[in-house]
Amino acid sequence: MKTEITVKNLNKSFGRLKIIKDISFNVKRGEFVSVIGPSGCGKTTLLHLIHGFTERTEGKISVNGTICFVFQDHNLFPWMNVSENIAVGPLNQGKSITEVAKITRTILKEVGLSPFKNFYPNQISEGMKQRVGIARALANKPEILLMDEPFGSLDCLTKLRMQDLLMKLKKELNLTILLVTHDIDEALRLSDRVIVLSERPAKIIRIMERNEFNREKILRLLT
Amino acid sequence: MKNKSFLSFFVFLVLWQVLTMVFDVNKTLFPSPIRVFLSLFESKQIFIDMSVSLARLIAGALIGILAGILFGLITGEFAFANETFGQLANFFRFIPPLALVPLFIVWFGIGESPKVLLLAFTAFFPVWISTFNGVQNIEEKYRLVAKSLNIRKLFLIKEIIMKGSLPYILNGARLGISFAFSVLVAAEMLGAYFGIGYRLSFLQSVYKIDLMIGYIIILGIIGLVIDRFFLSISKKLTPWKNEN
Repeated sequence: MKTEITVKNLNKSFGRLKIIKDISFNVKRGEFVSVIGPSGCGKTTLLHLIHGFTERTEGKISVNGTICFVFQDHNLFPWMNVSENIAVGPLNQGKSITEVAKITRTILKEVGLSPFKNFYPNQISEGMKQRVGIARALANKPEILLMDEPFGSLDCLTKLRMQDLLMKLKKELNLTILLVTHDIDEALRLSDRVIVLSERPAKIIRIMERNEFNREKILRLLT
Repeated sequence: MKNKSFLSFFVFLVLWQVLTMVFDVNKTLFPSPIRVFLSLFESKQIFIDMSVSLARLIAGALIGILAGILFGLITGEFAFANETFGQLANFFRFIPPLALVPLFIVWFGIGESPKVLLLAFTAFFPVWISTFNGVQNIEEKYRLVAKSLNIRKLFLIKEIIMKGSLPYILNGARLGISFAFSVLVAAEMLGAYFGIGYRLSFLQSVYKIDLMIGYIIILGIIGLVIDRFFLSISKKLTPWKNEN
């Protein structure tokens, strides 16, 4: 099944406040696309629109494939341990206990959290929480991941490790990823393409292919 | 800390004993603790009365707690339900439970039903309010996660709303049973043949003050045990609230 995101002439306003102005782009199957822009420009709103958390004011969005969201603050359920947080999606899908246990075991191993399966979110580090957030999304077997600054609150070393993990999972599971970040280096390190947004209302200033990546160019576009 | 509380109980008993020995008090009206405990040991009714009272309390509180949880979940999750039934329930919340005793007696007689219903009525409201608050306090971000995982409504209510509200529900249940407990004795005074409340009323009529005080002490102990039991259950059911 073809997996892609198509956004055409997207506009979003909250009352009289225009957040997103006339954005059009697509994401092809298996691509890693980053969206970068100043704080508060509407990056998160863009992801929310694509997922369907909020309604667009104008324009078209089409998504071909199962989609899952990884939140900025992981948003783990505090009353569920690591294992239970990951199992929520498969349990909701009606899978048997045995199947759910197998899925959870496999994903815990993938993200390196097997020893922590019975720990609660308040007992693990921020980096671990973010890994659980990603694992919870992957347990749903999505084809597309929407990621809202998933590594924003992590220290440099943990961030690099998480980025490596993400690339590894992307390759193994053939994921399509749309990542929102304010970190230029992260965008350049991980992506096939980078979409640069302006200040609010967000418009696309430039879409850069990998062979055009240039840190200084992006900085100039953002300032 | 436990040692300090036992010490304070011990000091209280010693002081009480000393005061009854030192001062020339009427030993019938102001019996010593030794006299009180002896009267409890001599009593043949104490276990029957305790069992009957506890059975009424558990039956009534259980009905009230379950109804309160269900109503709290429905009014907390569905705005329509809260707008239509919530205000009606709020009206009944302000009726003192003991005001209903004469009416319940007329409707249901003086058997077990009116007592159990009264206890259920009393326990219901704190549980309803707490559960409602618990549901309303489920942060929007968890609902977004549920949406991102395409979680079905029933699954959402069971795994996220109910479990997320559990600390509130348990706190409400703890309050509910303590309110019901305070109403139990009064309800038993107005139409029963067994139970702590009935026995207190009877002992007053025969001037058996030492055993009356003994029964009151038993009430305090039962109340403490129930409260500790609920605290212990809450700790077990909400492990994420315990310290790291």
